[in-house]
Amino acid sequence: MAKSQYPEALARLIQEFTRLPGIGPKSAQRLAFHVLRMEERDVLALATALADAKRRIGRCSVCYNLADTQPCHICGDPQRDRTVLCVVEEANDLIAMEKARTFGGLYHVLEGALSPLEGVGPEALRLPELVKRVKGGEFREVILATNPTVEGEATAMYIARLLRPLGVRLTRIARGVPVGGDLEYADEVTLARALEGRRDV
Amino acid sequence: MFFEKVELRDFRLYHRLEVEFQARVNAITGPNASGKTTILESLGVLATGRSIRGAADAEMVRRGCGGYRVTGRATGARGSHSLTVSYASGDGAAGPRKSALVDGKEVASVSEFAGTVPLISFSPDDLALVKSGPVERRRFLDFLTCQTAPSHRDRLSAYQRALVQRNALLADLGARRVTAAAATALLEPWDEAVRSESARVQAARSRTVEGIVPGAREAFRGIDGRNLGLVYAPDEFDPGRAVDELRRGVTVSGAHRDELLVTIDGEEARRYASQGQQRSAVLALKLAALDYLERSLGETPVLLLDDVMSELDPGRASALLPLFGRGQVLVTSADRVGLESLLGSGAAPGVVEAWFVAGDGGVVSRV
Repeated sequence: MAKSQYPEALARLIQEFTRLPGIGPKSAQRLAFHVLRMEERDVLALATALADAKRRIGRCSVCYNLADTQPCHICGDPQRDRTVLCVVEEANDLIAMEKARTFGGLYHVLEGALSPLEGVGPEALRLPELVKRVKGGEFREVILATNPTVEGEATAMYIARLLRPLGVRLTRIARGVPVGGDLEYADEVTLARALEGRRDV
Repeated sequence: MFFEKVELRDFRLYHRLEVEFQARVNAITGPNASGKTTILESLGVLATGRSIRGAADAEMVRRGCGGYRVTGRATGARGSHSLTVSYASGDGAAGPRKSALVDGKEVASVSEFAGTVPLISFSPDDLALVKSGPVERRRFLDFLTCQTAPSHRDRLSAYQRALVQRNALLADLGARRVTAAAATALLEPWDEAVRSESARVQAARSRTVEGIVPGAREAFRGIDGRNLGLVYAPDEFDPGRAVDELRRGVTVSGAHRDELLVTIDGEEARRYASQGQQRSAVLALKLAALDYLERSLGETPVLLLDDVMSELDPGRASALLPLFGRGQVLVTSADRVGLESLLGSGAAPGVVEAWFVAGDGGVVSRV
């Protein structure tokens, strides 16, 4: 390999940036040069923030949300409705739900969805933990909010089978036309699926 | 709807090409491998988002280039649109990227394009539609269905995804010698995924078949005199075959096993018909498809005739002549004199509005 054009420390910084998702060699170089132009104080703040996040954020031992407390701020919140449980694939789905501010119950993060192609079977998801929670909890309803993809649907179906004997009400989130959008501008696939999932009024 | 012009960048053998077409009949002649079919293929890309010859995007990129771009203008009863499809091969970090623009605005997926300009193509290779296995016939049905309902493309990929996932699971369980009984709980969600996506694909294919049956029968009777039959045989997903599937590692039933049976006087055309009858059957299917798209979309499809006029005998070729002048037709041939005499004779005298010659080095000139 040709000798790097960069001083060693800079080359290493660029190398580290390229390991981030969506960052190619050019962006990495741009970021690295930006870091060199930053105030030392700000660079240290960034470095500390990175290390702190990694060190202090773990998974909630109850719902597997990302958390810096045990249990997480949602599981520990006495105001939340403990009779409704919403099952999501990843922590960022939970955050999306929270932003909507309409759901006041508890969550369960699966940490993935079934995908035999990638070797993800039921054992790789937080399923025994889910069953245990539903068995031991006072949940009246479990909302299956996995993504409306082939994998998300299969995961929802697998969970439904797993929980059905427990006698809890199982629901699946609807999919359809986005709110605030004209039907005219909804894409054809969304419309077709919305039509398939229509209901009586 | 017709293409007013098309511009190619690094598409197959063309570095840059700009061609303006006439609203009705355009003829392109030139020696073999001079790029005649490529021009038709580029119009297929604009109309359907993909190659009408079944080529992958990477294959359509000019050798040594990083991507292709096809831009065109199409005009019809409901206005005029500029359409662009571009493909970038990507490098190590970034994967390939395909994008589509209608009137300068990017659309969410290239498949949304399909149906903007309805299009039917016909080439000598289409004999496979009747002569070879069911794959070609499913492709034909899906090609039509995607134009009348662009969501069909997404239905197909969802089905494909479900199938690939189920097959991966079958192969894994099979390799670990898990019995069918023990595999049930794991297979069940994927059985349901394959079953529901398969049923969606089949419902759409079935509507398309219903739409082309009467037209195909009538067209064939006009050309040949006998009775053409088209029977869609959807292969319903059967979860009860897991024992066999675990051994083989593949899903053995579902929409990927559908058949569209083509019969002549009750006999399967694939096995029992003569080559001439098979040609007539293909022709009848294409004519019916054109009618169906016209009825469903309210626009006369663009018709691409790639080197077929010379393949068909005068009797069969004359079945195509009424289409000349109904919508836009682009016809190619290596044999200009033959094409001229065919088109200049009988039913369609002097019908060609523009003659193009494709020559060496990716040059197309109007003559």
